[in-house]
Amino acid sequence: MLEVSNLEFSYDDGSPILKDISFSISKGERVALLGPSGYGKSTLGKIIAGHMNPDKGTVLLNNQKLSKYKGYKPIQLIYQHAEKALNNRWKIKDSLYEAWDIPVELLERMGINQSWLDRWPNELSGGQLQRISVLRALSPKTQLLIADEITASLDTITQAQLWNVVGDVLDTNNTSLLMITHNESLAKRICSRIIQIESLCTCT
Amino acid sequence: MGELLRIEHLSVTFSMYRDIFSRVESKGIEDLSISLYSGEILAIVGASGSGKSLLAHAIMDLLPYNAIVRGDFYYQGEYVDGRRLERLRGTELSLIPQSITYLDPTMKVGKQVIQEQFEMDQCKSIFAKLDLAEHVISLYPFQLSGGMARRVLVSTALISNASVIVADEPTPGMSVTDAVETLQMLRQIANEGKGCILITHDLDLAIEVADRVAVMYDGRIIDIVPASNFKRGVLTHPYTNALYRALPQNDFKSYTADEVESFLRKGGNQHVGSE
Repeated sequence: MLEVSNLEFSYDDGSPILKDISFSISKGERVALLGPSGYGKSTLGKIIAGHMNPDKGTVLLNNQKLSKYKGYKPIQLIYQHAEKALNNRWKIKDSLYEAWDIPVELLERMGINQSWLDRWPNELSGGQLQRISVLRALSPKTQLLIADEITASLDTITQAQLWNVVGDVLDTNNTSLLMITHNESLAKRICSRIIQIESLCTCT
Repeated sequence: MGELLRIEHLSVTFSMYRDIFSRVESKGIEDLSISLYSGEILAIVGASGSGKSLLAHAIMDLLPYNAIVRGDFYYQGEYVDGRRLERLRGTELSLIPQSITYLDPTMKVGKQVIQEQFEMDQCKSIFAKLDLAEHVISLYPFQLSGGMARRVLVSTALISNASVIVADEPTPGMSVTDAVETLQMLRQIANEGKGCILITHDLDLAIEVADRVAVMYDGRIIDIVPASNFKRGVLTHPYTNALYRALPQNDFKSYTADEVESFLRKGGNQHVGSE
């Protein structure tokens, strides 16, 4: 379903971060991208999600470029820091329902309190905001979810809660997952395949 | 084991303007008491927003001007008043900050480590101890790799010969080998009879390296247990137990908000009686 081929990318200073990266993810598959910091894991995530353009190479979703999809993008990226992901001038409910029509039952399972909906992002904690930004991205229209260290700054209870719901929704919608993380045991829990970034990347 | 630092009934509140005319107080830390003994690593774990970093910053006097700090500090058994505490900070109490951004980017590393109080020879011997090459002294922070920067930050705390070291989230974003190395340095410091407070949200790591683990929730310490209790499975506080069981390498069990609430109610504040 997702086909990444011969990707190359470097930041302004010229040294290549990503070099000749190719891999694919099939429909409904859950893949973890593991590796030390500084190897370009997050950069790769942003490129696949279409937030940045690669210097060379292509990212194809169902043999089409992401830019061909109009409106809602079928590849959704969630960041580690939810406070940066949500618009501070929008109430929680506006951010949440902008994406899709979320059933109440899912709000409850995610542990989102109805009273949060009328609040502003700065009135919620990091863990609470993360649930909002994750739920936003779980629309049935999402074909690939990229989760960049989404639970790295959460406590273990919240982490397990969150992944439990995410896993169920991914299963129901047959959505694929690319999980970027340092945490190997978490990756083993969630994903069926683990890619070590060093094995993809011959540089740095 | 001698007691190095004791904090009693610490509370931190922030006074904020709600609008032009009225101010509200928001509570950060509430009635917190804890002791640190020589030779130990005391880990402080908890969810984000539970007040871990606030505690570190309260100990190091790094809180912003609108913070109101109340509580009693004892250093090596002696009561310390505000002014003396200020002198202790930096000489007897020292902080390993979270990231390289705490270094001055326009100043050579060696100079930053020795500041105005120490000799370059001391810096060299500390660097040697931490496996840093001598030429690192004349490098600028941007020339350091992540692992080197980490060791430089550790050396700023070591050179002062402080007996209490507070490490604020020293490992996120590090590869496993770098993280293990940093924690070994902490262990080494503790083995020399000093005390380390390790602030982290990574329970797994805390269990590996610390002697005791304190669990924070909502500005209070709700439980303090020996780290070995986790692996032996003797956790009396249901919330601490839930934290441990929820680790991906354990049950990865998902609890509802109501369950968590009931754990907190049932467990209460267990360490008060035992300390």
